[in-house]
Amino acid sequence: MTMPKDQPNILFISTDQQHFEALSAPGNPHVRTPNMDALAACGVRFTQSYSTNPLCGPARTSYFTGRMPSEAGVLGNEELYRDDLPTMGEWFREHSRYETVFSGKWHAGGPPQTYRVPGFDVLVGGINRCGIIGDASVAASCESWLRQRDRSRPFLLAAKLLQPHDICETIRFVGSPLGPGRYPGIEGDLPPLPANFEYEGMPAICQVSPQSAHWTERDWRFYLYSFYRQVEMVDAEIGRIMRALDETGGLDETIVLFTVDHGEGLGHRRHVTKGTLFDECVRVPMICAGPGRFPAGVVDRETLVSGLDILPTFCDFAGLPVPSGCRGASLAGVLTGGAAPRRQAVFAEASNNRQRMVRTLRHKYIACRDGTECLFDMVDDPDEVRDLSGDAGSRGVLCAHRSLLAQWESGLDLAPGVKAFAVPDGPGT
Amino acid sequence: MTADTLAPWLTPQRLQELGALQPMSPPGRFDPEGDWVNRYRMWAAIARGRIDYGQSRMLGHLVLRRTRRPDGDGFTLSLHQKVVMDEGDPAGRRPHGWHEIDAEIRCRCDELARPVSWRMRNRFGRDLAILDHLTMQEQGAKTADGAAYTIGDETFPIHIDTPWTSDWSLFEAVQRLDGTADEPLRFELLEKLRLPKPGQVIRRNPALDCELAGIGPLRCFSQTGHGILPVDYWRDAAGRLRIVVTLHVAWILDEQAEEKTEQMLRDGVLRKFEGGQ
Repeated sequence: MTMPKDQPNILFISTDQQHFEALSAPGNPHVRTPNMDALAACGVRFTQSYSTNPLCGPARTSYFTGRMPSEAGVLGNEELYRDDLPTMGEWFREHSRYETVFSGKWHAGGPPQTYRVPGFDVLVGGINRCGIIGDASVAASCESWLRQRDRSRPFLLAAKLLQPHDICETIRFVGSPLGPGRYPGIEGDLPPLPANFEYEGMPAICQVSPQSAHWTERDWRFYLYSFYRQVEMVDAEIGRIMRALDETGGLDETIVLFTVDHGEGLGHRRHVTKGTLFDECVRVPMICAGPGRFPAGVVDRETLVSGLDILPTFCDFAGLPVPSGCRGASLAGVLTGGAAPRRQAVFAEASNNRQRMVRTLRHKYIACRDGTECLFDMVDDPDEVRDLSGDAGSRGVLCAHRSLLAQWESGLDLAPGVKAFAVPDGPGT
Repeated sequence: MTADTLAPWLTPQRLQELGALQPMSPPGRFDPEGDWVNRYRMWAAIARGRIDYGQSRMLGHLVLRRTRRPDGDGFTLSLHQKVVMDEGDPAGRRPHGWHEIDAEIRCRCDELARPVSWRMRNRFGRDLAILDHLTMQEQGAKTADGAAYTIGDETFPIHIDTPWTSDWSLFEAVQRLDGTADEPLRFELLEKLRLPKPGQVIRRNPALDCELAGIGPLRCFSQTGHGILPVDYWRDAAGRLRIVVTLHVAWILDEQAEEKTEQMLRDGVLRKFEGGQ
């Protein structure tokens, strides 16, 4: 095996269920994330980054295999991926001398927390559905390991934090009677409702969450407040890991990629938690920092990025081949200012293989197995409130997106037993 | 609102209804200004489905010991925290990892129990054995600019505005807070003596006062701020901190907390509240 001389360390940090605007770097005044902002200030922040699936297990499977969830066979949580796909850790161990280390939530097929992650040494698993307590252990374990690591080898450290996923627990309490003055003094800090909280003609595929059906406006705003505090919690833990990297002299030798498995409804379309293919659930923060390697403080608003790109990007920087069948593309060219080809579209799946999304530079197309379709102009209508799928003037765009999706689907190597997705064949095709 | 989509907030009453407060330690004599030990069971109300508490369970324990300094200059807060990690595998093996923190914090005897200096050790374990390569020891102290910690022979500063205190110190301080003061206390938090969290406020919250059979009246203080979910502290008539809740996580005074954690590590997760059924 020949080893590239310049193999950077790779620190892969992710949080869980963080809305794409739930950080202060883009100007959100309701949350303070100094550590995510610091990463953005020394790297490239991609604003058009999409998960392959707005659910933990499938999204994480794509991180670690470079395959769509339907290819890996992980359509929901807790499902095991097919065993002929190498995972990130296994690939790095087979093809390099990287030390591969993992801490936190796995869930890429199998249980959320486990001491057995293929190809990685596991530091700690964290605590299922309790990031409030468990994330501190995950971050502390990463710090301990970074301070005492073997400096003779490059490392791939996956730090998989759980917050703000605890919002799934806390929403159960929100609608219970708060009582006047439950938390006196926070009224002025309650964020406003999003612009697309409610509107006429919400499409049927919007999933109105039963937990929030009865919430008052104050309940909704307290939920937003709670969510942002949980984002701040995980930001502090990221700061702990980054400090340890910096204080041990590793910052200049390391590529840091920060992203999220999927987003959070955050009141858009009266939705809480995850699962839809609207931007609040499927679009995610993505920051790549490599001091001295990438330009600093860049905001890339044009490149369409997918969770599929993580494995090829890491392979590229480490000088490794990319596993065959990977659907993503390396971001190395974009990050280093090279002439990387911009892709035409990114794709996502949802709802246990019943829905698909195509996101092109201008439009988003959503198709359901029952034939339902939506089309949005993401430039003129970033809130996705005007469905153009029935608009005669948009028929050409609709057909073009159907074709893109059909072409993509025909190229997938579906896992055994996974049903192929039939793209709707409506009027105008 | 509908009964099938709501879970009541965790309050002392709700925890008692759930059986999570049993057994409570006998109150005995307690002097917040004296020497004492408080043992807390860490517990989470985790749902199975939308609202029930089918996956609620113990997470570990926190033990705080307050010792007045012989020179009369403040006190030492010794702490031991042990949290059990979920590390099952697809075959269903029981969890068996843990993270423990031991620290000695020299604190001022002021209203925030502000730390002056400390020593701390983080350790991790699995299968009843310590993972030596992850053990980390440090010491720290307040400085003119905030705080600094030393690992090995290197010292690293932390900028934090004054007044600041730690989350562990607050468990001590809230027992001595003036329960009649209207004005909230404002400060910054150095969580786990590492993570700065600004904009903290703690205040009396009489709206959440309550009285429990066998325990008596409980007075509530609530803390809000950046980087934390709201935290409610309930102390009893003697001033002893009985229950702390931050949304779905609770610290519950429990003399058997340490034994229960060790039982979890030996036997698997204690489902529900006490008995592991």
